[in-house]
Amino acid sequence: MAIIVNLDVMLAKRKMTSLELAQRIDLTPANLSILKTGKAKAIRMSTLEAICRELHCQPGDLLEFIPDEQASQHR
Amino acid sequence: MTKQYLLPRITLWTTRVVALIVVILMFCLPALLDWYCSTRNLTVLTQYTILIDFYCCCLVLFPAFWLMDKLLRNILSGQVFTRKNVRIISSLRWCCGGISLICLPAACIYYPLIFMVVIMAFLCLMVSVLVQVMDSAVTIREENDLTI
Repeated sequence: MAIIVNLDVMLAKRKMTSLELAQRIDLTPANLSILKTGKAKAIRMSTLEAICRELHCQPGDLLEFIPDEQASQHR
Repeated sequence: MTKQYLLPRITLWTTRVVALIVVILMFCLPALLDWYCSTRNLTVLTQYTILIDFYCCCLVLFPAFWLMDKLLRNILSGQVFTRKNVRIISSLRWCCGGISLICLPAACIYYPLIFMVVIMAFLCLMVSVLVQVMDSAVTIREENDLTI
């Protein structure tokens, strides 16, 4: 997929675990893991808002667009 | 029992009762046919055609009953929109088509069986449409499951 989710980078910057974030935004750890590993097909605006609020960041800090050819190299 | 699962449960037990009736009919059919053919003055050829046709249909009917039972048990356990169920409904479609094809040669000898051919062919078509609908529903559900 061309959209990369840099959630683990932001979690490291804010020194927060994914379990802690999941509890704060009322999301299951399994769902958050789906988001972290790039398997999510879509994200709700409310979820994005909650993540940005807890991590004190912008949506652009979490989501990065990489064209498909570069995405395969990135992996 | 919630209202939501009442109809599938009724359907499940109805399926089992109908399967039992078919089993009983398997044993009673020769005698029933003797009586029927004598009252209608039907030939021995017609009698054996109906008999053989019924037993051949049973080869497809019992797997169909088992598939319906499995599908309804999946629905009752909360697994409705799954790929497994789409495969089951797809198999049921081929069972309907199979019965239609089995009855076709017999219908050349005993004409009323043509109704069975047409009905089962139409049912096969209808279930094909249902397979497409279920497949789309499963795709939407899978996408929804991966929406965070």
